[in-house]
Amino acid sequence: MNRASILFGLVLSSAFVSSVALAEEPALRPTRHQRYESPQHFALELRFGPYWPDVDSEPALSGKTPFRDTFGGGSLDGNNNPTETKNRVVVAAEFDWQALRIPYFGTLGPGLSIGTTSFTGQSYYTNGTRPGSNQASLEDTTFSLMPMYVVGVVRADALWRELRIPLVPYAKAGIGAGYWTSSNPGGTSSVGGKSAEGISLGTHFALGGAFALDVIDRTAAQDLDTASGINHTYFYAEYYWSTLNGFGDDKTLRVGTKTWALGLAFEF
Amino acid sequence: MLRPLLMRLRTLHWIALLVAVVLAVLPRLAHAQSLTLSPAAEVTQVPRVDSSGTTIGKRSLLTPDGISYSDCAADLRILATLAPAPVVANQNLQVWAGLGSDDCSDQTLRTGTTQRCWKVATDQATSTSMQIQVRFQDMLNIPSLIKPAPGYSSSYTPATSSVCGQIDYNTVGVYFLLTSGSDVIASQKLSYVVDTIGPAGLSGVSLSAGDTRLTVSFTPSGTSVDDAGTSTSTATSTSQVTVYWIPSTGKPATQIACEDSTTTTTTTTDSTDSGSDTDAADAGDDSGDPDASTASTTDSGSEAVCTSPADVCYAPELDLETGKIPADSVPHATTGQNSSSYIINDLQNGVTYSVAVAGTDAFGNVGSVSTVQCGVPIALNDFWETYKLAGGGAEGCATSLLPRGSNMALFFVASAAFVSTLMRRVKRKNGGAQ
Repeated sequence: MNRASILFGLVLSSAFVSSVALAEEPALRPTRHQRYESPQHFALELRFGPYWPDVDSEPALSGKTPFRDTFGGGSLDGNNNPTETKNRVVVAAEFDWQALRIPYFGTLGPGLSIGTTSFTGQSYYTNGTRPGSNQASLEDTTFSLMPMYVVGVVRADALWRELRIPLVPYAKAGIGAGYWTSSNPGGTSSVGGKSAEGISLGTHFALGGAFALDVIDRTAAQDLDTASGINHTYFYAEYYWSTLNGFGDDKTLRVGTKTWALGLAFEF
Repeated sequence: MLRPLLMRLRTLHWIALLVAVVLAVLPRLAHAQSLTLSPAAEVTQVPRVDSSGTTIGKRSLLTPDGISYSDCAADLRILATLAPAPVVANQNLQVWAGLGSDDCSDQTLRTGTTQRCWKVATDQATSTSMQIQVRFQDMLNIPSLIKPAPGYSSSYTPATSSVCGQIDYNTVGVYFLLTSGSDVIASQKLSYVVDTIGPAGLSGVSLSAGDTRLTVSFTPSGTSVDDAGTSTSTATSTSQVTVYWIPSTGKPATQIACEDSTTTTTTTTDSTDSGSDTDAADAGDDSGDPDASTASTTDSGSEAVCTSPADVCYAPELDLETGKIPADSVPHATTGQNSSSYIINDLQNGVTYSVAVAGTDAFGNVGSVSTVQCGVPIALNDFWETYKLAGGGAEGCATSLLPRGSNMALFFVASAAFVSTLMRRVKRKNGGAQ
């Protein structure tokens, strides 16, 4: 995939945003079942979840698994290399602007997220083996990744706002990016004068559901809104597909994944 | 008539008394002496000199200045310039030292059974400007702390470098006393913080091999315990860690002990045993049978075959007794007190290196050197090299997709434009609503 594809994706996102009709909530308006709530325009998510980048899926590797061999876990093969993947935790934050409120449905708006995770494993002898457990260890090698995305977010909160069912299904779609770097104790790795540092673009899709924690203590939720302007607090879980493969470019490191995330969300 | 007369007499009486007092005190005032320490009576103002009298720079590790093991070992001293005024005949300048709050101008602390001060310089006859060197070794020759105890004396006995490394964190006051007989006419005092014992040894030392480098890991000190085993102040805890490394030379054959003689020593058969052999092991078996006369002895003419990894790892520069520190000629580097590792770069692959670490306190005292670890830098492939060797096509920063760094910049510029557009729409809408 080329630059045109990327720019096309960005233009699509902009077009999506430009087409959004804005809806403003009046300050302190009454809702059907609540007395009053402060204006709500934004959402902040704190996200945690497992992550294992799809590096080894690159066709050019012809089935070889350098990422799993370096950063994996589980049992070892004859060369003392791991034979299983081993997820790391990605910690992320997402900021959403709930630009449009669709009556009797929910909100629609853009969201921006950034996260971080890293993988550390032992380097190899040049013959492809590593020391056994009774031998001195070799130096570490590290792969760091910052997954990011810009998405459109639709949250169907009518169930919660209108029917008081504390569930909010939502979906996200947009463009993702992963800034990655690989290093050893001497600094950023390099081969042939090209350092192991780059960014991989791709698509990002997610489906999830949020449980409104307000139902646990409505009075406390109301007080929180009055005191801090936080309208609702959610616990959520989502599954996402992040294809950070340069839109199929064969010179882009594949750092996307398909995994789930859990977290807390605050609307304000 | 009499009353005015009596009043005048009483007034005269008081005047006479006042005159008498003035006449009695004035001579004493005229003889009041002072002792001035220049440029100022502060330790930071008093120059340090070496044994040749050359002024050396102050250390910046401590404020105010302190005395460390290396200061003591180098036989450094302070150069005090004193000026008694006026100079009076038959007076001496004595220099004493005392621990902590002991005031050596108090005669009871300088003589008899209550003596707690010790002399740190020879007495000098006074002159208008006096320069006196006070050796740190003499200041650290504290009778109550030094072993063997030198004992208290009224005379000055020069100390040796054996006192260095014996004094834990303490304060020593140096008293310059202008004396006349046993009386102290004037005095000046300088206080020095002293510590000649380094931090406790670091534990958990291990090495991992890298490509032209070794990574040494250790457990951070994290406590205020020094090498004397006492918990004192932050000044005596590890303020930085010094890492030493040197190529291993291997033990000389004469130092290699072969523990398992059945597998590691060479044997010779004494087939010429004639019965005159006085070897105790062979004395009772002198039958002439060649098999029976076989003796298990090390053949000094053959190569040592009992070499162990520890023998190969040997480096005498780091194989030191407790409390000793490697020579400055041993390559070394320092890292922060909270560090748990250090990377030694630019080593030669395939060469065995001996590595040890030691804590250093704020005085610059180096603590006990850790157990020596050995490592061999070796050519390695990290993840990126492994990926490329496996045929990976990603090209990192030099990808042809966009110039280096442009992808990230493009992503954020697009994001910023995205948000900016929305913000403008909100403002426009809000403005329109108003």
